[in-house]
Amino acid sequence: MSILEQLEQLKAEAEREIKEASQQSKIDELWTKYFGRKGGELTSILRGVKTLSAEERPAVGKAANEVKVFIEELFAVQKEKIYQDGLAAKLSAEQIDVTLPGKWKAPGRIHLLNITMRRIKEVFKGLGYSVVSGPEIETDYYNFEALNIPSNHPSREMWDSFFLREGLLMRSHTSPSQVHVMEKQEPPVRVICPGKCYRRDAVDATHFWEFHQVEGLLVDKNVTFSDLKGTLELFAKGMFGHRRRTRFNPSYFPFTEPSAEVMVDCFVCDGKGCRVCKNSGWIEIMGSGMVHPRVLKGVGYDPEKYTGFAFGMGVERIAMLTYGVDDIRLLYEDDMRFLSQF
Amino acid sequence: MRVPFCWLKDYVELHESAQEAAELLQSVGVPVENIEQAGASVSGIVTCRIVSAEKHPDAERLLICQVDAGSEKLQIVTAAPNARAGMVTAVALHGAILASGTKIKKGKLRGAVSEGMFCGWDEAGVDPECLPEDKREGILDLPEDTEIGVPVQKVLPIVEDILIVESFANRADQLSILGIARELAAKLERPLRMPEIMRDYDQASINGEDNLVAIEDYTACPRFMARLVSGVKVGPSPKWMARRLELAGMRSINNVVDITNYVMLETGQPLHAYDRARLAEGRLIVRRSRPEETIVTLDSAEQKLPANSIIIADAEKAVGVAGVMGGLNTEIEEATSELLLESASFDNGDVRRTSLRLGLRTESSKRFEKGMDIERVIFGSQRAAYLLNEYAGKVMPEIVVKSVPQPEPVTVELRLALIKRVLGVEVPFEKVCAILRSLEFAVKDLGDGRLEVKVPSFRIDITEEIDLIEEIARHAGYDNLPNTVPAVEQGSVVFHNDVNEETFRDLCVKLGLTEILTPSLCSLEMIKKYRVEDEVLQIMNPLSEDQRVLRPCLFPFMTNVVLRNLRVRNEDMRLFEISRIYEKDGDGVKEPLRLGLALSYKDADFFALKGIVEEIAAMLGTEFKYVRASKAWTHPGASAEVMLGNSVVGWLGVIHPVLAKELDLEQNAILGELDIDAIMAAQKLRQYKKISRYPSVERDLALVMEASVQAGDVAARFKQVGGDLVSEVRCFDVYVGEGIPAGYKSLAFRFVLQAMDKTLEDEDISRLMKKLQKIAEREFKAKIRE
Repeated sequence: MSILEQLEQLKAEAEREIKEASQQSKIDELWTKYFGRKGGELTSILRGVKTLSAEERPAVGKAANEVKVFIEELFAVQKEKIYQDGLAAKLSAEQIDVTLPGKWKAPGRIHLLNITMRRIKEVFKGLGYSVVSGPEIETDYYNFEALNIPSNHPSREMWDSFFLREGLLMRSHTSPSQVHVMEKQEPPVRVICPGKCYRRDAVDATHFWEFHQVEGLLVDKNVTFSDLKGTLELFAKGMFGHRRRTRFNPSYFPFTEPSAEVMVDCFVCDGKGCRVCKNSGWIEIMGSGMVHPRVLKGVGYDPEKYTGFAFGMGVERIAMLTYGVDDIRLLYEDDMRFLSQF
Repeated sequence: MRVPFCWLKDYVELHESAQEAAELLQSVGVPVENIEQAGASVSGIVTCRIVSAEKHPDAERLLICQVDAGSEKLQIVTAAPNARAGMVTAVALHGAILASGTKIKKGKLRGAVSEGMFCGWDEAGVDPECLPEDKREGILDLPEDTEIGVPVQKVLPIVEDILIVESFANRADQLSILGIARELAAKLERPLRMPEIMRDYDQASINGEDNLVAIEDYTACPRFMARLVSGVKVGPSPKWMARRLELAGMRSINNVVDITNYVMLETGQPLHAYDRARLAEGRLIVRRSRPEETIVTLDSAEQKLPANSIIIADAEKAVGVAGVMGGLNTEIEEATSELLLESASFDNGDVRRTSLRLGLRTESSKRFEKGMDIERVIFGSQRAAYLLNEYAGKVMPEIVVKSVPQPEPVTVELRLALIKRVLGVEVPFEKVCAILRSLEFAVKDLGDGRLEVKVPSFRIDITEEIDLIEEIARHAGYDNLPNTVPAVEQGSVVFHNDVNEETFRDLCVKLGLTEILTPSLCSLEMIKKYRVEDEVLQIMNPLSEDQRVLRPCLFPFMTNVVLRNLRVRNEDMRLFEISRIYEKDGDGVKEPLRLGLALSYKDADFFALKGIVEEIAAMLGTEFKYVRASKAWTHPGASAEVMLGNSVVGWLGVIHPVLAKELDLEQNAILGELDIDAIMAAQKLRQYKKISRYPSVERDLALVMEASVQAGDVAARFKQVGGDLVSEVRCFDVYVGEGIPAGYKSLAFRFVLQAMDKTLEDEDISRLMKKLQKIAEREFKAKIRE
């Protein structure tokens, strides 16, 4: 058989074999069969060309080269075909149920109370307030006297306190922080004072002997009750949503006058009436008022020159209202099933 | 205070519903907590017609009636004198519940079956005032055309609204229905209708000689009015009065006692009636109690009177604790024929002290504690006299008043300009005057935008200008004032001192820890259980022992959280808490901020927590040292103190196995605490550290050395010797076992070597490694592990 005939036969055989190959391993095997460095069939023929006479060499060389290109082309096409066929099968085999649960292990969580605390602080920081917290152990002077609550005043009953000794107690509200701040600086004053407070309350679904408050204070020239209303409405909108509305009812605190309790239309039912707002459409969120002139005088501010407003809110209460938590004790029990929800 | 809506209507004309009235009150600062509905529980009472009424064969006064109750025909036996054939009335069927809460059952009366009971207005819970006056006795007598067989609620108002009014500590005047009505009348701009009184004050003997009353201490009792009522017939109160008292939450006792209670609720003036015949010498003395003096109060309790309490006595014995409760020995009884009525004012501090010491808080003491209006003493007495004369006996002309001189009314000057300065808007002059006058202040224009305001005696809360501004603000309506934003001058420095706390909170959350919140107060027993021996701050007056101690550390609380969670099969806990702890500091106290850490999950070990602490340091740009040291509550071999420079800033460790056993802790717990304030105080401005542009190489060195050698010491020495070329060295493996002699261990160190100025050559590297190896051999008696 002449070399040319051999080439023809090889070409036909390769075409058949390559086209029949359906796996990459077969292709690799065939590649070795034809192009292997040792014993590759085409390689041998190509090597044989060198041994031919000068007359034969050009024609055979050309033919052999054409066969080589032809087979290479066949390999390329078949390889692509196998890849494409395999890809479809691979994609189909790798199909997953995307509704199965994700595997990400959650990072840590902030306690619900502090999530709420941070939101409150953020709103007031945005309004230019500083965050300053005072001590939890207070003297009678700061907790009461300086706030216009003399001893034997009937209103002392509003704050049943834990005493360490005569005259030294766990603060029953964050309001003493106001006094510390004013003693340290001249107006303008614009601060919030977050922190823990203590009261001798019997424990039930809405009372715990410890709780957190955020106290606020602004003192300057020309600060009015209307400013208090506007500021606390801004807060309510920042905290509970821009559509919220506020209402102010007269209230009583010895250290503010006029005093007001601040109501926001219910953010759960949009004011239509629900369990959270006890069907009234309104939720009380804090107490507030104009700083009593006697409190200003007590820290050496001239009440004829300066006026101010103060406010205070219970953080547990707001957290509970916001997230529908119906028992304050859940906040202090720290069940992982509770904590991991927020 | 429970305010029956029907009662409120006596003093102010109201077309508004109870709900509307409540909102109006709320808007002027009389908080209505709730509106309760009395009578809401009445059920099973239906209207009916008496078809026939025949005498009971065996009982003179009973009638056997055949009754048409719509779908049902019944037989009812009754003793009602006004029952008659053809009458439309109401019947409580078998199973019905009356206003009193009584359940009605079928029964037999003298042998005759009775399938229910006819009802009067009181049994049905109807407001008698909606019935014609001649139809308020006996069973209900309803109009002919009343629909038959329907619930009585459908034809008569049974449900009575009761406003539950809270009163502010400063508003003594709000502990009376009249006081609440006054606010409502002012808000609605309607007149306040005063109740009828006996106008006999001009007959009173004022501070004269008499044998009725003597006051020994006018500071404690600035005013006392006494009067006599004779020909008294003690019996049940008029039904309307008894009903109102019950709606207001008081029990009806008899006409005399009820009248004193009724007037107290109405006017806020507590009153007391004594059976005069049982008063030694028939007279009263207001004096301080004597040592060891006792009294049996109306609640039948024997009270040892605290020394120096204000009491009411007769010539021989104590007959009442002033302002708190009367004595049993002079109680009004059925046989009482003459009574002495006390209306007085007692010092609020005195009453509060006595009431606290006796543990006896009454409707009367609550009112005195808030402070008294001495004018009301006379008004209350005159009101009670009117009612006593109507319903109990004959009011006598003997009236005695003992009093300090009439005090001048409080006068306050009000500047209109201040109103604007405080509220932010101008309130028109006329409006200011109208509001003040409607609240019974007397107003005089002084010109120059100034007013002279005379305060009515019952407003003891009003003493200065700002008090008047509040009056104007609340009656002008807070919601009618604008909402503005303050224009604060620049210069208010913004500074936040929650930075330490919030920085640590963020770090912990990033490191996969979950925040918990535990109480700051606990029992002494709890910290003892956890072997905490610190001297602790204590609460003098806890409600329970759980509130005795201010915590000196956090870990017991965190461990408790772990225990609680394990009990409910939450077994994966990586927790932190940021809180203050409390310490003595000389004579004072300190409240440093602490970070508490606790890990408890399968495989949790010391290094898991140490890794977290190291990372906290890294994120703060600092480095801690860890020195073996244990606490009473940690494993002696697996705990460390955390050092920053030369100071201890915390500790961490595995819980002591013995403690774990005592606690029934079934899963290992790794605990720790860091002193946040100290760590943050040592924080310096962080500076960028240069990064080498040349490649780094890694080399390992495995060394066998005595088991007591600490890897950290070796690594630190390597770092020191290697200098800048060793950019990192860490011990990545500890091996004990086959091939290592007993008492020895193998430590494998990995070095990252790098120079700032060149690529390290093999030669440099091997020279350095040899040097390190020599150090190890010489200083730590180490041998290269083959």
